Amino acid sequence: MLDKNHPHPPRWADRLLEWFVAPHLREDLQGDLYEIFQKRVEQVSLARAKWEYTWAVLHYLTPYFFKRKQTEYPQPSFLTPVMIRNYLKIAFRQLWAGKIHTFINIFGLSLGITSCLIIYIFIRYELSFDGAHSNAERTYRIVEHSQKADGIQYWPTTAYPLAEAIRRDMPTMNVTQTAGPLSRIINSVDAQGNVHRFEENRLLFADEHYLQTFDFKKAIPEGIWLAGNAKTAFRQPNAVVLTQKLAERYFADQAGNYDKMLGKILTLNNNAPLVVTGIIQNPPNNTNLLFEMVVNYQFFKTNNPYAATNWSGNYQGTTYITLPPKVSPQVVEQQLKVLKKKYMNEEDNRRISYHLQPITDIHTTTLYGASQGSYMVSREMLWGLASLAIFLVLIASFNFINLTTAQASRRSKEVGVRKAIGSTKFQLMGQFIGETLIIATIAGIFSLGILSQLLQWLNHSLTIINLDLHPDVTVWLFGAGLILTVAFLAGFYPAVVVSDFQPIMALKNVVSGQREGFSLRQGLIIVQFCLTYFLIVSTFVVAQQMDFFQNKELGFDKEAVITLHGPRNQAPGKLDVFRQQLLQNSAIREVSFSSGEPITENYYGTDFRLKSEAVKMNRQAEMKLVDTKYLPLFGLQTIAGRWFTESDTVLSRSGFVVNETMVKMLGLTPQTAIGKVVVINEGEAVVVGVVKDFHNMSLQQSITPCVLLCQNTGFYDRIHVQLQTQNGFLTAVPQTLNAIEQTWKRTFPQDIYQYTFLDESLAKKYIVEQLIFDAFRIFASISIFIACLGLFGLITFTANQRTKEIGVRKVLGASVAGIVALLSKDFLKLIVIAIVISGPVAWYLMSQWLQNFEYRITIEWWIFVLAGLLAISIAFLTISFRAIKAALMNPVKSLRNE
Amino acid sequence: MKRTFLGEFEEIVLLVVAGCSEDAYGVIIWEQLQQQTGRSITISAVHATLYRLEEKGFLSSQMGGATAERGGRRKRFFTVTALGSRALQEIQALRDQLWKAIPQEKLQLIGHS
Repeated sequence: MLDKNHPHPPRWADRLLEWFVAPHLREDLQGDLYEIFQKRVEQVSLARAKWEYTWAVLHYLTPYFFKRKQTEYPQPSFLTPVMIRNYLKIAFRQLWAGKIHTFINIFGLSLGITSCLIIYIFIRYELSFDGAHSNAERTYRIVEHSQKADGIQYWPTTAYPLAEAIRRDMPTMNVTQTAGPLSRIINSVDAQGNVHRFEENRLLFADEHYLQTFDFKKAIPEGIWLAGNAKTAFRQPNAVVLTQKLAERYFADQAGNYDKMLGKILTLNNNAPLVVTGIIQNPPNNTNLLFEMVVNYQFFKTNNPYAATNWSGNYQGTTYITLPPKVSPQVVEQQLKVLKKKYMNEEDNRRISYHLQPITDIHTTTLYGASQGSYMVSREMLWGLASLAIFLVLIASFNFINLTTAQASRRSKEVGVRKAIGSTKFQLMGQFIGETLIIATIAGIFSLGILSQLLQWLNHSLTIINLDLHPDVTVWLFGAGLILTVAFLAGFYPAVVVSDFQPIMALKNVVSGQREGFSLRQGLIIVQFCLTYFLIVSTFVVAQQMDFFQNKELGFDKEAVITLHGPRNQAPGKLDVFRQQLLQNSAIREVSFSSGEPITENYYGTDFRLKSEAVKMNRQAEMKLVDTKYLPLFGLQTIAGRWFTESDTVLSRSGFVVNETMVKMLGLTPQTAIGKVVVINEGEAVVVGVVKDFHNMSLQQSITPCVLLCQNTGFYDRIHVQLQTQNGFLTAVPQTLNAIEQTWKRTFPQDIYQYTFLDESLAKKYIVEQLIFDAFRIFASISIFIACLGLFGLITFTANQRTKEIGVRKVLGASVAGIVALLSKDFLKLIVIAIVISGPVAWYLMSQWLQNFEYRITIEWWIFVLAGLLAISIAFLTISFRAIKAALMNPVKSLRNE
Repeated sequence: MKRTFLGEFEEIVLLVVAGCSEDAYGVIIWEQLQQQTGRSITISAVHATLYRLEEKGFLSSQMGGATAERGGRRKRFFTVTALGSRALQEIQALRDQLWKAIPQEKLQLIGHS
């Protein structure tokens, strides 16, 4: 012992030395150092001696001193080729011996891993939207918050003059603006002089900065330009840049020769010439503003002077801003506040505020709605999917744990022998985790094999949302990581249990640890069925909600109605001719021209107030331009006043028909509303009638105020044709459709004929919900399938183990039913527990999900009962399949070899 | 027979151990080495060389008794083994043989008296 006053070297240096230097060298070496230290303390100062000691210690930090001495009985690494060969041989013998269990494990894990990979690829894809541009992380979409009397309205779009104002007043910002994407008719002329006509619905008006900001550089490193370039392409006001796809379509005779296509002329809407100034590669689908052709914004500005200069309105124009490096978006928002004050009138300035939204967030933020022609996936939904993936992998891994620990006794002799001849616990764990790794790898290889097929199928069946999934390097890495994780997750516990066997006990076949394994097994089965039950309940709830969407009384007729896009030439004479000719066909009941069907994408917003109200009220209403046939065709009902008559159409300005909601918001009753003068953005008129509320927004939202005008001002974008039905059935639809097409071609030779059935296009409003539903249904089936596989494996094991017991029972007179009950009871008990635990959680989470919908179902108790019965009966079927076989076995056979 | 190669430093350490009048252990050898060669040598280098020589069989060692000034830690005493002596002798013989091979006039040229 050193006494306290005795100088001693720095403690940490000592510790370092003791930790680092191999034990067999440590004592004398450290002793020498101490001796030198003591001498130096007397020769020089204490501080210097300490420093020298430390310095000397640092010299020992070399591999030579670190290397530990080998023990007297050398333990060769268990990774020598001979051992590896042995391990592999044993592993494959084991897999072969338990064929059923191997199959269950591999099959279950493949399903889990495949689902997980698919979900991973999907989530990565959904998160990649608009991340591929050079300055994506500095680029923002300017969004508009508009204060209304009853809350804030969120717009993804802004007023058109904003971009130019920013460019003028904030020169360091890089701004670009777009209008659309819109639907337009394009004519091209081929070498023979034939005119080809196409309807394009992804025409984007954009300024010269757009393709520089949205350059897709990270997706297409060589640049998107096949001909022309970003600098010169937008010099002419009527310039158009085509994607490869459209270029090949318009100039099929020049295929591949993009430079030759420059300077060609296309015609927009049959009258305006456009010059092709550039060809770009087809942009990837993971962008929020899908376009196929870009026309110079100048062209739009010249042709829409009102919209392009109006600060109050919001007409499908989007503004993007790229900030200089290191400028915070908050600062820019402040600058925008100053800017809008300068340009807007006082009322708009108070009402409208601008905010910056990172473009990479657009796709997963539902607040502002989807961009035109695109869709959104909320972050919550992605989280939900990610948890689904984890659920499935967990369920499959639990199967593995259960089956392996159940069978552990089979390996007890092997473990005993291995331990007796010197295997350590660590080596045994390595061996068993390694065996799991083999199974997980086989499962992983299967998964990767079917993955590409599955992705192709998914992309194909989801073209409606332009899905474009493909595996890349990160998917392989993720897959490899997943396999390792699964191997460890599933292999660790069984490995611990098995390697824990005491050699003597193990050789005597008395296995300790069996009891703990059993209770854990029960726990895992409960968790598996909690997850499965949750998925079944969710599927039921989603299914009911979807059903509700499809069948909810919308307040208007949607059956047997065909929607056509309105012609460009809307001269009243033309429209009347079209209607008269159609009505001569006895299969057609009614024809109506309007700006849009009751629930429409062609939404026109307007402000509204009573003339007697002095101030602006900041109330938003939908405006529909209709004709006299609109009400009978859609089966709307007037509850006060009258509907439009033919005489309304002749007058320069008709009266208004409004809906109940608007009447309520004006503080009137339907009766008192008649005769009041209402002012909207487009002018004022007398309310002549009130219609019963019909749904004018999709069911995620509530009914908004709506004002109907009866006038043809060139906004009849839709034609609805109602077919005759006989006893609720349509007859001779192809002939009728053909007749309509012929009439269309005669009347509007310059336009393209396109039709949709109204009920089908309405169903598309819920496409994302439909997809969630499909995903839930598929994953719920997979999860219940994997969980049942596990049950099947366990019951097989139990039945085998209890063969003799069953034999004895049968000899003593037990019935088949009794034996099946004996075998099933333990498992069914666990499933009932799982249902009791999982039910309330499922109820809570699904109520939260339903909150997303303005019109929703209530979750009823029978859903839980039904889901419970389903889970129990599937599980019971699985179990009894094997249990009955065990019970039917001839006791003579099972008792013979004793 | 395969000869074990002895480095220059190893040779000197081996010679110092052989020439030690008292029982040779780390600190003594280290001090002797510095004295004899006049070089500054780190103790870690000496330790590494001693252990390596022991592994090669030129030295053998045994632990001594506990001492107070070393915090109760024992000393490791090194002695030259038969193999060690033979190696030293062989080296010397080789050197002598080489010296003898040098012609007289050249010997003078390199300043040998």
